[in-house]
Amino acid sequence: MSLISMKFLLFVIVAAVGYYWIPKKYQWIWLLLFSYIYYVSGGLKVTCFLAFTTITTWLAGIRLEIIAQAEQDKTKRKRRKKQILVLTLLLNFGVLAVLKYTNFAITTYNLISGASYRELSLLLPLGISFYTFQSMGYLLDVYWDRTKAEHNLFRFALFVSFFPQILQGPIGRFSRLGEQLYASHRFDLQKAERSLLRILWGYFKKMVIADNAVIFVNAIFGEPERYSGLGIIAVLAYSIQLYCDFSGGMDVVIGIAGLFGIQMDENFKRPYFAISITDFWHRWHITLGTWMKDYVFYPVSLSGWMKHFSKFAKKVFGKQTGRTLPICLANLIVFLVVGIWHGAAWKFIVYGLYNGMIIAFSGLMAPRYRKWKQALHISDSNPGFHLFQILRTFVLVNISWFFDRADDVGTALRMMKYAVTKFDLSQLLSIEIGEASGTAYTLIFMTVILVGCLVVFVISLLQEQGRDLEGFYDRQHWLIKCMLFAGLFLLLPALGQPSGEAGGFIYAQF
Amino acid sequence: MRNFKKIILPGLCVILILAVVNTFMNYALIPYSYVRIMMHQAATEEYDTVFLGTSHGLNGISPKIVERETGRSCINLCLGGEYPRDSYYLLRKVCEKSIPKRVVYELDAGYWCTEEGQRGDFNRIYYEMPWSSAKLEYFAAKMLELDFRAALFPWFYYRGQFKEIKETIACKQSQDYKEYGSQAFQKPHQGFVDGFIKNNTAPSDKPEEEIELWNEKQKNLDSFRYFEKLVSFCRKHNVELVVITTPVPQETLEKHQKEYQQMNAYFSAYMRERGIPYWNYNLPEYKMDDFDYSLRIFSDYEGHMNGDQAEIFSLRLSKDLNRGSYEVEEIHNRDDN
Amino acid sequence: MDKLLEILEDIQPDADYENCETLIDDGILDSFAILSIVSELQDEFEITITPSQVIPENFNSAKALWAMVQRLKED
Repeated sequence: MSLISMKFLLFVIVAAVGYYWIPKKYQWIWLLLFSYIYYVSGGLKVTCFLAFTTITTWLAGIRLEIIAQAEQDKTKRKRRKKQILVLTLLLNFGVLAVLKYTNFAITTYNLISGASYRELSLLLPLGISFYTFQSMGYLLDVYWDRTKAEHNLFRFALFVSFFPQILQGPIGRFSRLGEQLYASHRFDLQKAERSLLRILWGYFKKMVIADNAVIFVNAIFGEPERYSGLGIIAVLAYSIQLYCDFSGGMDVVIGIAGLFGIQMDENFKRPYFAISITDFWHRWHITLGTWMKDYVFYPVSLSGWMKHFSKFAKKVFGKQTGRTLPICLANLIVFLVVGIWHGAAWKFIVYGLYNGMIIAFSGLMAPRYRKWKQALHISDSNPGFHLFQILRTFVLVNISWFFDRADDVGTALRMMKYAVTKFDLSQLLSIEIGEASGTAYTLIFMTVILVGCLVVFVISLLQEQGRDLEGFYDRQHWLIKCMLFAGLFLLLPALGQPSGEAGGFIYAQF
Repeated sequence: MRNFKKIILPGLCVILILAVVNTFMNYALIPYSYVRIMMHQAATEEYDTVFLGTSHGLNGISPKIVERETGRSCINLCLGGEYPRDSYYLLRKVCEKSIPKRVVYELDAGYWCTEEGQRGDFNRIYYEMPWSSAKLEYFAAKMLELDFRAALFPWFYYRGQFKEIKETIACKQSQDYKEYGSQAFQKPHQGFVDGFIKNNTAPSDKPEEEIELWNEKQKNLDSFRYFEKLVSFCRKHNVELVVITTPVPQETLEKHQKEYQQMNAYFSAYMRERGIPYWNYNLPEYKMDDFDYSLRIFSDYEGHMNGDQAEIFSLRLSKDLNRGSYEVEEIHNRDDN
Repeated sequence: MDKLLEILEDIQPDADYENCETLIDDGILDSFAILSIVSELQDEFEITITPSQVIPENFNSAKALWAMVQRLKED
């Protein structure tokens, strides 16, 4: 059920109205019911995978808790807990890896060895990456005693399957999300209004900006030779598309959860205002970043063999570099995983390592940067320097988007070269929009994208400055609010594009 | 009372604004279409024979001629972008008024192996169909799966028409529109006349766009599912069902010989299994002596006939329909031997 | 405690470690700094810090850090 289908709209309305109508103590059961209706509508077979992850993780959580309480011997306790943990992790990430990466392994092997094994047609359960990460996060939390195990299978099943988030995140934490899911909620008009507005805003970003930008992106990345002069436009349009598509989807998801009184973790914090790549990853797909930080970066950095490596590095490179080097290594591993997470292809691995290397490099250079800045009398609060940092980061991010979007690494590099050597804006007007209309509307929709981006920019800027926009909305006369709702709603058909043949959000593929 | 002021009143207000703007946009942007005439006729008059299918049927079958030749009242509800799902609900709509004696389904295999995309006039049937239980079911079967803008804002697909707002409004205020007339559709190269599209093809270059050929591997299961529903609906109500495929240019047949052969083999077997007569007018045994098969007199490679050819074809189709469905196949098979 | 402050100053200068209670919440320490601190503390006080201890509550202030070190030393 696509997030933009009529069915989904009606589904949400029925779910939300019923939620406040039934007795409060059954509210979580109601959510579980609708989450499973939603998931089963995508296919009964794939639901088995969801059930598998739910049940294994639930059992392992309880088991871990029992061991922690019953086993007196400390080393034994540790060992037994670890066994359970590793087994469950292997099972669940194993399923994910087999379903997502078998074909990548086959094609890579064919490429290297010259063999010609056929690719398999494997089911890919909806949102498998998201619910697997969320469940495994819970498991590790229980393992580290950060959270208590959930004993009720059905309550745990709701945490794994909560329908607004299952397709494209945000990846929730049990400690914050669980409680809210099981609590009873009273209807709160202010929250409901804000949530509805946020949903419309999300659709606006997706349909009016991203879906218009994608036409230009697909045209140029589809024929990089024909549109060789537009490399820069292509990647800018792609950065617009990615942000508006993904964060718009998040606005819809978080807004829908808000209708049920549930506050999900934010996944975006105006990423293009980031002042470094590290900062960017603190603002872009935040829940994936913090997941990686808590469950991959820290554990890897604090592992026994890293400790040995750290001692060795300190001897060889001196205290400061020796201390940072293992962290850089762990960081590279994280971004390798992030790259692989994005898709089974070499270009995504390059994309991940590119990010990882920049962060590692700036980590190593940080003390030197500090000295240089002191010597040049540049303060971090200098607005000019701040702007420079933002632009520099934006350029670095855009370079990474070439790898993310181009068909392969070679095309990405070629397009970057053309972007500089063959720059030619006039090609833009020859891009066709719509099946039969040719280029008649090209200029109009370019304007729509630009104006749309300007609106997003102004709102982001105000949010970045800490203005309370929702409070401002709350203070308006109800008639103005009505106009805002109706106007925003009407812009979707007036200026939006049909959302592709598949009608999907990019991040729903993961 | 508090609820009324805080929720219901603003809610109604938003709905009111949306409804007013929506009505205006639908009126001003969506041009008058012959689908409106078809829907009006289907909802108000009774027919013995109903033609369902695609643009090939719309361009190739003159209901007026078939009516004259068979002595049974006819309506042609073939449309470009009409998948078996749409055909099924069109039939349901017709049957709300009266149940026909015969349904002729014009089969274009391309509609059985492509996704029902958001192309052409696909939304038109939904928009023009008067509300009834058949439309509600159609809504549930088709519109629910689509982008919510398709169902809520039918003008969405016509927003590019804003330059023609004046003409559209003028047309909709004309007497012709109010009387479901077809004057608006008379253009030099084609017109909606006698209940079908009559092409006046100039013997010039023919567009050779990509033709959707039969590909068994990409079967659209929904098309098959809804055709099955159509078949059982006809059986239940004792409606005779005939399936036909209209002639395409000789050039196209030669170029895509393999696909056309596969398509014929597949659907002949499929229809035979279900005991449904299938007349494929591209087969040698169905050849018409007086029909010109050269690309010259078609509008395009895909096989949209011109008006004169359509009349010849309609005469032949009437003759075959008069013979009775099973006899036709027998006669052709005998000729063949 | 002085040794701890010295380590903090060395890894990331220009922060008021004696009084600040929101080193993590306000983003003064990023993950690189946190791990550098962990690395130094492990060497200096011969303790083992596991992922379960890397939580904001333990890193938000020098006081909290010191408490964690004391706790781990006792283990």
